Amino acid sequence: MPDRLLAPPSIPIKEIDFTQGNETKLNCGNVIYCSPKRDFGVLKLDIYWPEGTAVQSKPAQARAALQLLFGGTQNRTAEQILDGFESHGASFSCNTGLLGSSISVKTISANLVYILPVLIDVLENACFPQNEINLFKTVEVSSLQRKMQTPGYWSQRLCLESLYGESTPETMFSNPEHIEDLTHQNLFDYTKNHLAGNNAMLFVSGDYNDHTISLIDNSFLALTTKQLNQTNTPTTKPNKPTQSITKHLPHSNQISLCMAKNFDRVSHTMFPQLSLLNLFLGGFFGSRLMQDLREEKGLTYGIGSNISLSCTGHTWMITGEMNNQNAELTQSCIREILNGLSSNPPMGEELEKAKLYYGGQLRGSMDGPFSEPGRIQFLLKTGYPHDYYKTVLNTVWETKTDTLAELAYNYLQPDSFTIALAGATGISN
Amino acid sequence: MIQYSQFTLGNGLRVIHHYDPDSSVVILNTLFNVGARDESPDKTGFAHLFEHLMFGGSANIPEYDKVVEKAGGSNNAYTTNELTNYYITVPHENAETAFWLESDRMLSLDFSQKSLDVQKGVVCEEFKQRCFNAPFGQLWHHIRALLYKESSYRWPTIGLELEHIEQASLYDVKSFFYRYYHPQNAILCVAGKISEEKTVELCEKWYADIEPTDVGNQNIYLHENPPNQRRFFETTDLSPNNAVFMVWRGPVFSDEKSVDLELFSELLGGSENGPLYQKLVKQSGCFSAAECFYTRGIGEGLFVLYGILNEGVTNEEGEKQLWFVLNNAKEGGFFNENDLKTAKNKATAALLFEKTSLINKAQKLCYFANLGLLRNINSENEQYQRVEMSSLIESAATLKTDNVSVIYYHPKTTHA
Repeated sequence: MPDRLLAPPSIPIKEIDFTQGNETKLNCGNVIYCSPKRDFGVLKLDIYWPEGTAVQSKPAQARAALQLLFGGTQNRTAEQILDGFESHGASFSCNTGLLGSSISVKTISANLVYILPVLIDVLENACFPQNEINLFKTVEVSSLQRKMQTPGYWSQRLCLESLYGESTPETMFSNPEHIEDLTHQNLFDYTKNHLAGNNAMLFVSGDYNDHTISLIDNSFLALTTKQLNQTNTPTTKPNKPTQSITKHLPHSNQISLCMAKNFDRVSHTMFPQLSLLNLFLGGFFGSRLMQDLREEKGLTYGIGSNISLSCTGHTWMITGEMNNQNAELTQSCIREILNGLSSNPPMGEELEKAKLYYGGQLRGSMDGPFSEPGRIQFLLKTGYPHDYYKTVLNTVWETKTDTLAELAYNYLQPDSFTIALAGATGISN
Repeated sequence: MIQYSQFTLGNGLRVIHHYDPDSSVVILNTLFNVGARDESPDKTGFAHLFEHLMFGGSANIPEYDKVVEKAGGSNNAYTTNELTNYYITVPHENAETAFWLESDRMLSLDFSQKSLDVQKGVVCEEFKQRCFNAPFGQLWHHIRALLYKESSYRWPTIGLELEHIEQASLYDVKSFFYRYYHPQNAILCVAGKISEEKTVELCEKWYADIEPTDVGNQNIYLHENPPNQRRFFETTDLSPNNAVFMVWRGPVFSDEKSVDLELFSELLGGSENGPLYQKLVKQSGCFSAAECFYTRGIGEGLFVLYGILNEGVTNEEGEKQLWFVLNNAKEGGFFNENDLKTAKNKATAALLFEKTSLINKAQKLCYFANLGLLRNINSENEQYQRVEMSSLIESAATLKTDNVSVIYYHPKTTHA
């Protein structure tokens, strides 16, 4: 029988040896990033623009424009476009974020040759038929109205709007009337200025070869429309936020909490340290928020924290759903944890454990044929160097308790966060 | 092709091995043959509550999650009406840690009242979040209550009521563990950068000494005939629009007719080019969403067809339009051979993309093994390609007015 009291030896992951893809400029002028090839018979092609809602002039404009590229061209109806993909087993999806937008095409590798003409037609000749715009509005408004019934939607929205302003590009939120007000011209203008096919960066991953790259190159050569604008990301400073906001939802029996703050963009050497600090706060199951609020006290099902990119920096956010009777206690515990990260910072076993977790997760996240484009797009948004992923783990392992305490003191003061509560708050709006 | 090998330990634990040299991790996926259908009607939600308790520490390893994290790993689980599935992913260098952890919690859990009380609180909050604070949160409560009157499929995994979870006792959970959490009731898949030889060695080392505490789950359930008349339920919901859901019971996973219905659902509502979207959302303007899907389960198959209505459209009108499209589709009115070919191509592509994910492969291997159909895992695509329009229409003909269960949802604020 094995000695179950004795843990098997465990090897820390302190270095990552991975093969990074390469970047090439094609004859068509587009830059293409090719991930290491994998022999699966399928591939993904991402068409990526380094612009998103941050450059839209109206709420919901960026997302609508990207989706409605597939609403019809001068040569094809929406149904013909969709059939052009689906008949070959392919699919496409559109994603609009704050600082980037993308179309992801997934296909059996051998069928890319049939998909590309349809894709090029969409990028070159989208005409935004009015009936498709009207349909989009109906579907989007209905979906948005459902989301607006949930406490989680409101706590995040109110918190972020306090930081960045109502319905601003930074928050990516919109109201039904914003969607209803979108016009054909709005979509056309956004596309002309920000979604030109020959201004996109291409990412290919999965099973491809040199012939695939030639196919893509020759297809994109057919694009003639030039992007008009190279818009700079807005640099206006965020609002002076309201400290605390509450929204009562009469049918709720839970409270959703969102605490957030913004801060200026940090360097590529500091970001891993902040990410490590975030792990301790609420970034994994072993975090202080998770262990205390959920596993020790049973106050909440979901609780966590993350750091995301804003236009000029970062947003640090804590979210959770809790029993409405425990809202005060939960907030008090969160404040204690925030303070505790500077007064009683991670050290010894707690520090070591998080670094071990970080290393394992980072390396594991690089598995799979389609993982690289997202990592590269993160570097494009942040301006971090190309070898960031080769050095980030080293930075994490070298981070000491004192550094974490100082970062926690500088960034995690409870009063520097805006708090929004939504749900069964019992307080009328 | 998913390459695999399999063996069984002396205590009945079935092990499947899948080697992936390109992966940097090893995954241990453990499927326990127990789900919500194995609960008592006055103690529902137990299988799911128990899933939470499994992370509370085992006899020799009090802090399960801490050990996983120190090994650079992560883990999670899910519960359905028919099974509970746990998975742990670790760097391949630390594979033995995963074996130690998973085998120890199969051996014995560290039961404590405190752990139980905490997890009851957590699960109750999950219940509220999923069921009371989201549109259509209680959909599966309503669907199952309509489809089943006596069978243990009549409650959802999260549990029928909060009180069932709140009243769970230490004795209840211990009994549940000893009855269902043992080698003869489990299938383990070891996948990733680990050899078959090493897998056998570590399985023998860590699992062989675990004695089965019971025979495996015999999966004996009260068989309940499908409805033979229309069943109906009407209620209010957080959704700000009226909605209609129509559900039928259908063939189980192992029945090839379930593949027919899966493809039929794809043709009918799996694409914006399908008749549900085209006729009801795009052309009639009565719906903001209209979709369908078929869930193929071990002991049940469910065909779900639904529509979310635009303002001013009544549920009755909505149902009428859903039937119009469905009845035409059942007669093949909307489809041709090209459409079927498209659906098959999509299925082929989906299967190929599935194989790019190690966790998908590990879970699928366990699922098929649990069904006793592991030999079929690499012939799924052939199953789809074999479907003909005639068999598809024949299977769709079972979706009738006299065996449907219908739910009408009205917005909470306007329901009279």
